[in-house]
Amino acid sequence: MKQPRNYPKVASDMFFLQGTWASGFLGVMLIVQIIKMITSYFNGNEVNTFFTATFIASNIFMLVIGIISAVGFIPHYVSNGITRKDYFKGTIIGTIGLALVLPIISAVITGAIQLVINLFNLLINLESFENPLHEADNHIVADIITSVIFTPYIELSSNWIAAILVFAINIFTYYVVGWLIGAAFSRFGVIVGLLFIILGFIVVQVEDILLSISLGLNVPGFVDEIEIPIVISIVAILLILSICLWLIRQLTKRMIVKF
Amino acid sequence: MRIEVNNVSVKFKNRYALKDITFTINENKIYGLLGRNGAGKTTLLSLLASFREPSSGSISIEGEDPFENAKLMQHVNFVFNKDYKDETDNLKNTLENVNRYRPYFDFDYANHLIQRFKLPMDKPLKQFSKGMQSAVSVTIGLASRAPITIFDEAYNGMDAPTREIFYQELLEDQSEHPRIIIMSTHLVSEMDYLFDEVLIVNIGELVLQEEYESLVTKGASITGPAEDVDSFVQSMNQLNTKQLGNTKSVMIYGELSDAERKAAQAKGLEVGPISLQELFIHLTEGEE
Repeated sequence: MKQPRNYPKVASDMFFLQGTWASGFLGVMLIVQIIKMITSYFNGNEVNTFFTATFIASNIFMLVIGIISAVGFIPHYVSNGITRKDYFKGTIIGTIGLALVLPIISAVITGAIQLVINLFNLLINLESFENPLHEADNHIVADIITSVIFTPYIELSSNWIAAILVFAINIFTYYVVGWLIGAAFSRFGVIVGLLFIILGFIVVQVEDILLSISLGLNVPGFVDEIEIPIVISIVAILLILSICLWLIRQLTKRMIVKF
Repeated sequence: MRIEVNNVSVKFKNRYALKDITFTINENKIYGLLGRNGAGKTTLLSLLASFREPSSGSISIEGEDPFENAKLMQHVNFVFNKDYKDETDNLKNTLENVNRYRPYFDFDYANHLIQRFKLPMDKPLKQFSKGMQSAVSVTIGLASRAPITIFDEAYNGMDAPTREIFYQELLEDQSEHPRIIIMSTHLVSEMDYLFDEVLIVNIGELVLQEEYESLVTKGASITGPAEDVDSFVQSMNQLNTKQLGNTKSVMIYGELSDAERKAAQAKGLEVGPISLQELFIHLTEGEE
C-alpha cells in the first residue's frame, strides 16, 4: 500500500469551507457598508471604504475561525481517517489561499462601489484611513487594544498590490494566533490556554509594529526611533509565523480525539 | 487485515482504563466486543482508530503502527453515536464529504440505506431526531466499506425496527463485501446472532476471546419439572433461574460431560444452549 496524499484534499476543503464563511462575513459587511453609504448620502458623514471596513473586521473574523479550526476540525478529519499531519498541512495551504482571496474580493467590491458612486455622481464622502496609534503614546494597554483594531494599513488607491499583501499577511497572522490559542486550549485546558492568549497578543503586536515601522506608519512611542527595511520586517514576520505554526504542530501532533 | 494488540494499557491520571490487553483479530468476520458501561470498550476502539495512543504496549495493523499512518487510517472507520446537533450541513453534502476520504465508499449503497432508513437528503442534520442521527452514522459506516469498520454503540437512539434494518443490512453487506467488523454493545441478547467471534472486556481487562459457537457450549440451559431440574443442577454453577408453573429452566456455566447429558435425557430434561447474555452477565458481574 502506498501512502495516500490527503493534504491537497484537506487544503481545498478548508479553503472552500472557510471561504463560505468568509463570503457570509463579506456579505454582512457589504450590507452594513450600503446602509452606511445611504446614511452618508443624506447627512453627509464620512464613511470608510469597503476595503478599510473589511480590513479591520477581518482580523477578528480570522481569529475566530482559527480557533474553530483547532477545536472542531481535528476530530472531523481524524474520524474520516485523515492524519493530524495532513490536516495541519492542508489547513495551512487552504488558509493561505483564503488570506489572499479575501482581500482581493474586498478590493474588487471596493472598486465596484467606487464605480457606482462615480457613475451616478453620488455625493458620498469616502474617508481615507488614518492609523491613529500616535494618540496612544506610551500607554501599552491602549497600544495593544488599538493595535488590534487599527492594524498596519495601506490605502488601496495608493498601491494596491502592497495593500492586498499587507491585508493578507495581517489576517493570516490573526488566523495563526487563533489557531494557536484554540490548540492550546484543547490540548492543555484553560490555564495554559490563557497563557497562549497573552502569547497571541504579543505575536499580533510584534507583527503590527514590524509592518508599521517598515511602512512608515505611526507606531507606539517606544519604537518611534527604530527603522527597519520592509524585507527584514517580512522575513521576521514569516519567522514568527513559522514558530507559531511549529508550536501548533507540536500541540496537535498527538491530540486525542474525544467525543 | 491483521490487527495485533500487544500488552496495551491506557492510564487516565491514576486509573487504568485498559490494563495489559493482548489479542489478535485477523479474519473478515463480525466481532462482538462486550463490556459493561465504563469497561473500556470505547477506549480500546479509539486506539484502533488512532483517536488516541496507548500509554504502554503496542498496536499494529498489517504490521505497522496505525497512529498517524495515512494509508492505514483511511481503512479504519470508527462509527460512534455522533451528535449532529451543531451540523448545519445536509446529508447529501455530508456523504459527499466522506466520499472524498474513504477509498471504498459506495454512493449507490449509501442511497439504498438512506431509503431504508427513510432519511431526508436535504434537511440540515441538526434537525434530525436522535434515531435518524444514529442512522446517519450507521449509513456512513456501512457505505464506507472500510476494511476495518468499528461500530461503537452506534445504533443507540435507534428504535427496535430501525435497529433490525441495520442488522439485516449489516449481514447482507458483510456477505457480499467481507471485512473486519467490530461491534461494541451491551444489547447482547438482541445482537448475539450477528457475532462470529466475541471479546469480553471487564474493568479494563480482556476476559475472553472466543468463537461464538464454541462460547455458547460453555454452558447450558436445563429445562424440565422443577424438582428434577433442581436435583440435576444442584452441584453446578447456576447463572439464572426461570420458572413458569412447575416448569423450571436453569442456566448453568461449565461444559456438560456426555454422561451428564445422558443423565439429563434419562430424566426427561431438555438441554439447550446458554445465551450469550447470561454468560456475559456472569463473567462481568459483581467485580466492582
